[in-house]
Amino acid sequence: MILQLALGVITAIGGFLDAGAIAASALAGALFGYQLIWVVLLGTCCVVLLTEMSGRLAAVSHHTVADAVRERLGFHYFAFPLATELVQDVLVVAAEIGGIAIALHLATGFDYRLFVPIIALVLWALLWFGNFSLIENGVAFLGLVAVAYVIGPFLVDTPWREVAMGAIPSLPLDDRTQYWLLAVSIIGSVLEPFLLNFYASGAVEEKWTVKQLGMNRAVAVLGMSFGALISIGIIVLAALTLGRRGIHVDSFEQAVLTLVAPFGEWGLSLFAATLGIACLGAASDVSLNMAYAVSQGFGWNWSENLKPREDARFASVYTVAIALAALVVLFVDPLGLTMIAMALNAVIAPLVVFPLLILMNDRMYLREYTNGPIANVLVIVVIALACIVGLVALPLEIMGG
Amino acid sequence: MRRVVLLSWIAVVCAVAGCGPASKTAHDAREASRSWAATVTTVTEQWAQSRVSQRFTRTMLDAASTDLHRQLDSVRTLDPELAGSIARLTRAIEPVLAAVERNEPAVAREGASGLMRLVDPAPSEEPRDAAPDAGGPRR
Repeated sequence: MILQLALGVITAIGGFLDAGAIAASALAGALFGYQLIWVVLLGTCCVVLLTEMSGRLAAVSHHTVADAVRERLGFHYFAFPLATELVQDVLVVAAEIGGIAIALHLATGFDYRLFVPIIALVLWALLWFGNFSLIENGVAFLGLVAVAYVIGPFLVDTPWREVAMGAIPSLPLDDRTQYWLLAVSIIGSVLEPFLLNFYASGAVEEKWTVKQLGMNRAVAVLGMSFGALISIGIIVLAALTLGRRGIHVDSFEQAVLTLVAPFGEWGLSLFAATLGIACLGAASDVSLNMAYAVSQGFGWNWSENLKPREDARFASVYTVAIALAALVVLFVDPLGLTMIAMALNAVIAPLVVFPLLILMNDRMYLREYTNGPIANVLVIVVIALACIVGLVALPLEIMGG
Repeated sequence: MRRVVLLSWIAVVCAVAGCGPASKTAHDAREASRSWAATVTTVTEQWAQSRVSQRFTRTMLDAASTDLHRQLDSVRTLDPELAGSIARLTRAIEPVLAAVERNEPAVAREGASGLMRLVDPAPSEEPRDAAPDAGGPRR
């Protein structure tokens, strides 16, 4: 039980941390010090709430979010969020492949584009030949290297009182457009729509039942909170090492300096490992989620634990998605792509969250485990927040560049 | 929040209509050149202290040169004065990169020490502390 919980927590950390979280947090710390920590905390509360619900839906009804939305609201309703999420997910996979390529570029000095085809092939092979447990637990376990960002602030002279003040919302004196753009990007990097269906699909793959409801809650709270701690660690180290010197994060290379201060010559290796492994975990999760969502939507066979010949259309979806994503990243700067993908996450979040509210109140699916009034109010608040963030995300992206 | 939404949509209309991106391009280029000057100064200092490898220092300086050339192209006709400042910075990074390639940390550090003055003579914008663990929020 403890091992299962630990693996779940590690997996949740892996789901939380990716190229977007690293880029948005590093930018936030470099430009606004600790002022955006409250956004990470707010996003974490939202994502804890939503992942717990999607896990509960899967454990009680043995339905994933995509599966239940199609069944409950009809294919016509399901088709639009599915289409937008697929486009969005391809961009996210492209950003993650870009992140891995940059990590290898940092480690070797070669042009990152050289690594893109190899990474795409390795990612595809991992999904084609691996099973769910290997992908989730293996890659996520390696992702523990990101704990360097939690330890790092204790090794430098961190002003903890100022860090704590970052939990209270405050506005900067200037560059407010940039501030809100980063706030939206952080929310987008935390509240990733794919996470809900992926988490539920994982629960169905692992055959969760109502007996796992306690563990589901613990995994959602502990895993996402640890993920948030890592994001806050990145913000703190970026503020300390980049912000004071006037260094922005114009490229991932500059973000390496966040770990050089606490870890010296190990900083580069730790950063490259953190970025590469976090992005590999996220790329495999998002690619799989595309296959899950399409297969569940069309009623095809689906499971990462089946051989590709047993669910050929499921395997075809991630194969095509990875190829498309690799093409995108060959032509677009990975950091810019990451920031656009994070803003788009925020745009489509309401489309994915709203149906969850309907499902979580349906006794046909949840039996006696439906949402209580407090949970419903909280989800409505999250939907309202997601709508506001979604409305302003693209205009801010254009204004803030 | 309605104001933010309204302003955001006005900005979309302006952006679509092609209003006012020129000043933003110049602003972004100025900010990027300051950031890269600070980056090169910092990473060269870190290399001189053996805290980062020679290869990483070269990678970072290459990235700085590449991005500064891009920034230079974006403002060449828009703001010749700024373009001149970025061109001077780009030229000043070349001997630093050459010193890194020759494995001469002291020469590289000396070459990088004057970069901030090229992009912004105001002392408030210079790095406040060269110590590796110094810092805090800028705003």
